[in-house]
Formats: sequence, C-alpha cells, structure tokens
Amino acid sequence: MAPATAVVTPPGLRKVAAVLAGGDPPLDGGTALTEGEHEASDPAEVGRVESKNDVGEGGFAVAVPEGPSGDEDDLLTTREGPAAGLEEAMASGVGPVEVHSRSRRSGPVEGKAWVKIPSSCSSPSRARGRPPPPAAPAAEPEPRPYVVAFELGLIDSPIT
Amino acid sequence: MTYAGPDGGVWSPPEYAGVVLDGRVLPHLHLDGQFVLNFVIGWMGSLSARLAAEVSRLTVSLGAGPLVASGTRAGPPAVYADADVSAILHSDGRVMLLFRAGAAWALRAQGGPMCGIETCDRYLARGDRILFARLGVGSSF
Repeated sequence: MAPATAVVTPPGLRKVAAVLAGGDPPLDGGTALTEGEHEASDPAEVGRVESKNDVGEGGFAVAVPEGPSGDEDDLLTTREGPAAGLEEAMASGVGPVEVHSRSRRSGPVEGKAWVKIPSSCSSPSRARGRPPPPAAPAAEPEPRPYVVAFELGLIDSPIT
Repeated sequence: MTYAGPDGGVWSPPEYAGVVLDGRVLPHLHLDGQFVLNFVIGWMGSLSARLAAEVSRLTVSLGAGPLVASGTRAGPPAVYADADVSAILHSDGRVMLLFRAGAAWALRAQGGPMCGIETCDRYLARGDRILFARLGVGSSF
C-alpha cells in the first residue's frame, strides 16, 4: 500500500515532510491508521500533521481535510496524540506516534502512526524542547498619515 | 499680557492658540497647514513642505514655506518665510503630541516708524523675525 503522507509543523521547526503509517512498524510506509481506510497517495488528500503545543508538553494534531476516497463522508477531522511519541520521533527521525482519529464514516479509530522526519529537520536538540531562537520583534505599525492638533505656544513678534 | 522680547518685540505667553493639520504625502514628505490666533498680533497662517523621518512612534520633520500674518494696523497681511522643526509623538491609539519651534522672516517692509508721545505705531521691516514655540495635542487618522 502506498504510504499516507502528511506534513509535520511543530512550533519552532519548519514544516517537514512525514509519512504516516499504521500497524507494526513498516517505517517507510504501510497502511494508514486503520488498515486500508486512510490510505492515500496524494499528500493533499491526507492533509497536515500539526503540533498543538510545545513538544514535550502537549500533543499534536493531524488535520485530515479529506479522506482517501475523496468522499466527504470519509473526512477525517483530527487525530491527536501524546507529545512524547512525537518528541521521540523527532529525535530519531522516525518513530511511532499514538494517534486517535475520527472518521465520519467509520467513527473513532485509534492506532499508531510512524512519523518520518527528514534529517535536516530532526535535530535532537530541538526535539528535546530547547526553545527556538527568539523571533524577530514585530515591526512597529507605521503611524497614521494624518494628524490634526490643537496648539498653544509662545511667540515673539516684531510687530509692536 | 505681554512683555519685551529679546529683540524688543512682544512676547505673549500662551495667548497663542491654533490648529495644525499635517499629512504624509510621500514616505518622507509631509505637507502641513496651520492657522493660529494671537490676541496681540492677530492671526497667522502658514503652509509648509516638510522633510520627515519616522523612528518608531516619533516623527521628526523640518519644514519650510510661506507664512502670512496680520500686518501693521493699516496695511495688508505681512508675508514671511517660515522654517521650523517639528516632533510628533504617536501613542498606541490615535492621540499624538506635537512640539514645534521655528522662525519666520518678513519678506517686505510695512508701515513706517510713526511714534507719538507715548507709543509707536506698528512697523515691520524686511527681515524682521517672528520666533515661536508651540505644544499641541491632537489625533492621528
């Protein structure tokens, strides 16, 4: 079966490609969460894996906009999982992540997914929760272009 | 209430009130118009083109332009060349504070020295100078 492909976007890390697979570890592919149900070959069909919280402190969510069949009734809304699995996955580059999902058609489904993260994005130091470098401060909003003001002042006039 | 200024002119502490409208027309170019009233010298209006720099919430500008003021008692309005520096501090909201100081020089003479026993009539010579400093509060939009 073709692997289900998604995108992982934990905070502090840029988007990385990932492979979701299910069942016992076929690390580079395999079935989706529930065998046969969520298989997809087009990444757009599966959607995105997005972290909900900081790595190690929360979990993550997998938003699946459309099921593999293309049928809206097969829409998978969100899969959530513990952060630890994701952290391990990020540290090693490949690892299991517990996921829980809901399909409109088949109802709640649970299982394991294996997240494969390209080596360029799997720095263990980042995966262990080190804060990302501080973001550049937001630019000050530009002042509004017009002002009207009431003035009081002093004047020295030559007209006497 | 007035008192003698450094050039023998008249200082009139805060009897000077006015309205200023300033607009940014290009990133570093503002146009500015103002009209003020003073109980001693009458009215004064000016237009200026301003070279402006914005640093965070502070806009500092140098302006130059014509200034017209009520002239001598019987004469037409007096025309001056005005130059000033201005600072506008914007708050988080729409409120802003303005400080401006500058000078204007008369472009032509008006009237003549006609002094009576106790007083002289208004007289303006070419190059005579107005000095001013203003503090304003207003709104940006």
